[in-house]
Amino acid sequence: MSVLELTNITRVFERGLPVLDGVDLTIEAGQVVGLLGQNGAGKTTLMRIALGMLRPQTGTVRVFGLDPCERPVEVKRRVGYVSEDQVLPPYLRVKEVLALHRSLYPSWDADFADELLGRFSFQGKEKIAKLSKGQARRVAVTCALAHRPELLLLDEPAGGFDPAARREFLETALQLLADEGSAVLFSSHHMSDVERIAGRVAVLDRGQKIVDRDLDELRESTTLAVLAANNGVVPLDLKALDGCLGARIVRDELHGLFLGSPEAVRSRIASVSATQSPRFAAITLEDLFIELVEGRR
Amino acid sequence: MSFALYRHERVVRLTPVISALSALFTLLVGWTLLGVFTRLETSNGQPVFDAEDALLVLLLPLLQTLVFVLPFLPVRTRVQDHERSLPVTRRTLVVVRIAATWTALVVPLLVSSGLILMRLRGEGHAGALLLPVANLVCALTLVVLLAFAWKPAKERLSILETLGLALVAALVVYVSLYGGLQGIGLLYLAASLVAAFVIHRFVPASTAEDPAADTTFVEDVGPGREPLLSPLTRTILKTTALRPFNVTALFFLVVCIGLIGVDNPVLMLWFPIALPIHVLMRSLTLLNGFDALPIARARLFPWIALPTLAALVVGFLLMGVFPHEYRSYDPVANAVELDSFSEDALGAEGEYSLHVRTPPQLWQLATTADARLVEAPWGESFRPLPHAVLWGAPLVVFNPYDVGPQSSVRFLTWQLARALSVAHGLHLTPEDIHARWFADLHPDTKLDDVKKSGLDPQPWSALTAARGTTSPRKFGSLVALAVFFWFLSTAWVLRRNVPARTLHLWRRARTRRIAMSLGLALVFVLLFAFTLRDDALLPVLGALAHRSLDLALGTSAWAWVGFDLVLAVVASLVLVWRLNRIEVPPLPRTGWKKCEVSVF
Repeated sequence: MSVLELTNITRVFERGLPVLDGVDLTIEAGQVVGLLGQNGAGKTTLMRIALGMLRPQTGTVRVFGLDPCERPVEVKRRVGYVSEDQVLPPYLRVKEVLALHRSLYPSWDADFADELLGRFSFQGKEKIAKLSKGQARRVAVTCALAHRPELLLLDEPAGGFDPAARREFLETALQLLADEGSAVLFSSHHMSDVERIAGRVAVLDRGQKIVDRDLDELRESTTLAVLAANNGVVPLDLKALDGCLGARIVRDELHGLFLGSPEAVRSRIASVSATQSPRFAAITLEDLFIELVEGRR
Repeated sequence: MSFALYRHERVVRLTPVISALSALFTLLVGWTLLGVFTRLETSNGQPVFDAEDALLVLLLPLLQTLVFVLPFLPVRTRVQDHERSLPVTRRTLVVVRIAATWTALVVPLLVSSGLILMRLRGEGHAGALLLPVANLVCALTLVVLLAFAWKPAKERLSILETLGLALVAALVVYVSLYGGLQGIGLLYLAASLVAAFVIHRFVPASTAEDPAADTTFVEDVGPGREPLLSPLTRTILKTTALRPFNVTALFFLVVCIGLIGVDNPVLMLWFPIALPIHVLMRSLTLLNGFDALPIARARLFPWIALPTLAALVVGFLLMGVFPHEYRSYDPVANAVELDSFSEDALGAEGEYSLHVRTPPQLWQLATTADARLVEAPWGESFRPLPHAVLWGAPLVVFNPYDVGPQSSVRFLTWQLARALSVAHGLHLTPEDIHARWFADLHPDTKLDDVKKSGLDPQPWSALTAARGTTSPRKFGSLVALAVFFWFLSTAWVLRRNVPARTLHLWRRARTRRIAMSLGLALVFVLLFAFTLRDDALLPVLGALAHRSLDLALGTSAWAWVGFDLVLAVVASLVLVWRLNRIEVPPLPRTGWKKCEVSVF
């Protein structure tokens, strides 16, 4: 049984502007999936639907085989959630916030919570109102992790973290849970974070899932072809080619992102421009994301 | 720069909306009250309208304005974080805040006053309103200045300080209106100058955060005393029931229903629905903080909805404790009495006759003219005036103990004997009544020929005073009414937040939401229209429903308690089911104000 199973999810807030448009996503136990997308692509909505905070207008949601809207308490007890705009009661102290969560999650691991607090340099007496944004986020993350959830939904979890805290969070806490078999779906604009811990990447663009692949496989199977612009070939020509994920003009160059080996891509490009020979550039995940999203405009 | 800040103050941007609502409220309620007062105080054909009447006419729209405007008044937080980065002095900010607050309070008041003046223009007593309005403007000016002169160096007032300020403000406004004190406006203006000097002298120039001026910045990391409540209970309480806005609005609810809205059916409809809707809509938004946590909504339900129910019940019970008499213009009364005074007591134009007024629970329903026919044993009959329940529908309510101009004195005493028996349990024969109070009139004299002036409306009051009225159990039905209003308003707010289940239905969601809002507005307008058209309808229909329930429950107090409890439990179950289906309304993602982005 999949930990999270989203099928044909559509959600609309404004007429004619679907935030999610027929999205499918399945996550198995132990998988760490990075959810990428521009602002407004639908990442937060997808996570809120997965947790039962929003209802989809089409499609089905199953978390541990349950409908999170129908059985919200059972589902939420097994899920950890940190959102980018999460707020904690400012009049409580850190230890009281943890006590609040401990009373709600039967699987709360007090030792693990103490360990996380120690790593984040909290004593527990600090008032939430006095914490910085990053410190408050650490408390929220501690609350989301300490009951050892079977599914972690992290919406920009490391947004307010300094680099050291981010690495601590990603490599230690998150990895620890993933090693224990927890599934993780996290969104981030830090591609280095995604590259560091995600085994799989899903990319949302304007409400649609355009990529859902194993990260290594994605890196190996995509090729960035660079041609001279203003030389008879336009982005639309490349987009019409088989395997083209996106094409765009960057200053005086034409970039085309393709699935397939450089040799295969070269032969495809030859069909639209016999005179030009493309150059193939090394591509990072960040470049891939930008080419993919911008190249579809 | 200052004007740009002023224009962008939220409360200034809302002022047109608040003014429009205030104007609407004045048209619906203020004008009704004016009608009441001018008719009530008609004496020898000359209407009298004094400053005390103006107090109520003005105060109600003002209260309603405050309900709308209070959450947005920028008096509590003097400097917000983003404003520290702006190239303005603290004094500029304070001046902007003062101007914005003053605008939000005074403009709706002037709009309401203007509408009332328009109504009074032709009646020759508009002058009576001018002094209270001027006093009120001076009072509001002083209140606004006091709000900023109070601890001027502080950047954010605590809850207690804000409540203290609210009490002072209420006192200042109350004194300004009550009794129409002629010199109070000048006194307030003088006090305003002192307050303005204090602001000028003690408001610091810099917008930089000053921990020394604000005790809330003192760090307290000591263990302190353990709180009595668990963190979860405290968080739920502070997020829902004890939210300052909710507490304020619920306090208004109790005051408005219990002390103000009791003698006017129009207000009886407005406050128990509009105020709970305000509170519940806000409470639902605050649930964002709990939405991701594994807490069943049923567990949160009592904290969200029961404070409103409690406020409604307390308000309605207060109504019962402090019963107000029906106005003399009403064709219904608290006790059996003769009406020889108000020209249009029954709404019949030009009619000037004697009538028997009875409590609303004694009225009856009828669908045909024959059903209204009241016939005495000797054959004399009378068909009481019908009050249509719905336009065009044959269903009417009527007072079966009434008399007409062509009725005889004998018929009058027969009707009075029946009415006194049913309403007060006072068993007198028609002959007794005639001998005691109408001995100087011949039994066959037509009432049209009887001189009405000088008639005592309740000559039997000495006999009935000790008995009271045999009205049904008042408190049981008042609680039932509170539950009904609570269910109505809560169900409406929850229904608004139930998402469409399918994309197809969602396309109609906005239409549905608009239709729901328009429907509610239409219900309000229709009810207002009914009430304005015929004052008898709502009390009579309510009393008839009440009487039916009382009969069904055998007038037992325990049966009423059980009935109210069952009603509340059933309503709660339906509402919890509905709460489980809603989506929590989103918080604004961005915003300058802390309260806009914080749920706790």
